[in-house]
Amino acid sequence: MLKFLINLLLNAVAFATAFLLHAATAPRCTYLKDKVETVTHLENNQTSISSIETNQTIGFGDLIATGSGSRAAFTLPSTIWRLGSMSVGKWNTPTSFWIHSGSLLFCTEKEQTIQFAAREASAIFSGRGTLIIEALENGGFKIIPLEVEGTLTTEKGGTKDLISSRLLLVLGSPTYFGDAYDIDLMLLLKSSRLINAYPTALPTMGRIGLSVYKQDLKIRGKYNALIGDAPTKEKLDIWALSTDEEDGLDVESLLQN
Amino acid sequence: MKITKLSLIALLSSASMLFAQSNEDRSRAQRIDSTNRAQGLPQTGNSGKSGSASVAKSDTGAQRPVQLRKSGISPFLGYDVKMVYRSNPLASAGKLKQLATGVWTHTFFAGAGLGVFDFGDAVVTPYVGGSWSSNEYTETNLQVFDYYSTGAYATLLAQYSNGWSARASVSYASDSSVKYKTEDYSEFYPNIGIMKAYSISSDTTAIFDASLGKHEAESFVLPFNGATKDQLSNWDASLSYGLRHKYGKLTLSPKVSTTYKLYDDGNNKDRDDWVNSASLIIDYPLVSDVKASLLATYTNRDSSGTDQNYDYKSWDGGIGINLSTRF
Repeated sequence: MLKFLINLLLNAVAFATAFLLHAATAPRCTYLKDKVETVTHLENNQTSISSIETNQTIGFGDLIATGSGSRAAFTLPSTIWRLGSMSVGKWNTPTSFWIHSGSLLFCTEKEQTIQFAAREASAIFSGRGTLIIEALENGGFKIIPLEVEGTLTTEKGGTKDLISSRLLLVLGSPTYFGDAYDIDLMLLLKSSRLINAYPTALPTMGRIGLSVYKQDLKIRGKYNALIGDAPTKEKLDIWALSTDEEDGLDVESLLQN
Repeated sequence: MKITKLSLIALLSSASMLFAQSNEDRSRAQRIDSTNRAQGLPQTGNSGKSGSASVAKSDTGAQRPVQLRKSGISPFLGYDVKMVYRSNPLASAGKLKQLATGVWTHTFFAGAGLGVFDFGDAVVTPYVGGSWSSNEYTETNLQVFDYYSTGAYATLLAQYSNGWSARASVSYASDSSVKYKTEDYSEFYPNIGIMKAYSISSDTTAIFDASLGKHEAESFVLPFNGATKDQLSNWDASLSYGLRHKYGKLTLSPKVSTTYKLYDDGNNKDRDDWVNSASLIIDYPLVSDVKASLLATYTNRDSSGTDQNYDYKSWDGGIGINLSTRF
């Protein structure tokens, strides 16, 4: 009887430890705006859809979906994740995120190795930094480092140093690097809801500020255009700015919705 | 949480205020040359007016391509003209208004940032520059004191991610008489300083600055009664606190500063001064790279340690036009 009780106690401790370890490594929702849902695959090949609540942990493989105007933030050890509106994605593991559509912000102050994947393309980030990932219509994704010390590796494109404020297209399977564009970081920050629509500041804001400062020292000119989606691997939407927008974009109008 | 509440704008402000670099916004309809490898022209799936809807669809933010300098070397030059009323131009002890006059000041300046060096948590930029100005009094009795000023500096500026910046600088300044073509004053001024800029609100940035330096001066003196050429040399320590407030197109910059000066040469041995000032500058952008300014400054000096009375008070007020461009 005593042996049984000891075994029971040991098993309970083991299960509790496993549960706590899972909880510690599973993504935990720290902020919600409006309705964000998760889609869980059940054993009987069915799915369950439920609303996420603050402090809820998300299972690996469970889809997360945000609607128009809804957003969520999650934490994993040493990392912050923000999912923008109209986005669908999931964690396959603590270090692997797949994005179907929409946008994601990833932030870490410690060196990490993270796989970012979209419907078609996939790349491995090694280093630390604050990155925005935006899914593209062509199945690839944009990666925009706000501040970074690290590399991105793709199967066909090899390894490339990431540069703060340089947008890089990641395309295809096997994945390769597309075009890269230096973009106006201050404008991006002012108009980004992944930055502005959350109640807490990112811990890397000082470094992001230094990236803005560095770009300001090097800036030579600005193009009268805004980069949009990429409907195919060969095409990238470039929206021309109208004459009255050239001298100063209306950030407030960009922040509406 | 608005980005304007954070240190980004403050960091930017600090750089531009220190070196009068214009925040250029020149639009160029050229191919973006920013990749690590050769590329063909981008295929545009859409074109025409941007329309907010297309851009606002994503939470990412607006992605406007820019062109960056590869070297990081950034020359700048400019011209500045001011017409200022000065209540006490000779800094005489006594009343606030003595020999009040207008002063025309024309200044030409040029300089360059010599690269951008990234050290992770800090960005270091060396700067060199110089200026020449003419200062002409409108009061006939003072026109004998009209003078030219020449200045040059070399500065090493380190901007840190926490918003602080540190600098080490050496500058040279010289004043020469317009009438007599003589150099009446010159100095070398090695100095160090720190500055912190931070946002108070979305429209207001505060700037704290502290500096310490030694003016190694030479001036024209009549060599009587112990006067020496270097008697205007002094150590100085300064503190200042200012705001930059955006109000529509206007930028209001009130500032207070206090400076302690310690002299140790010639007739100024054991002299120490407190110089306090309060100023307000209101800038209005006329066109790109050109701004008009309204200026007002009140200065008070409290001097002790010598028999001579060096106390004075004065106020300046006027207007100016500044043209500054960066390449």
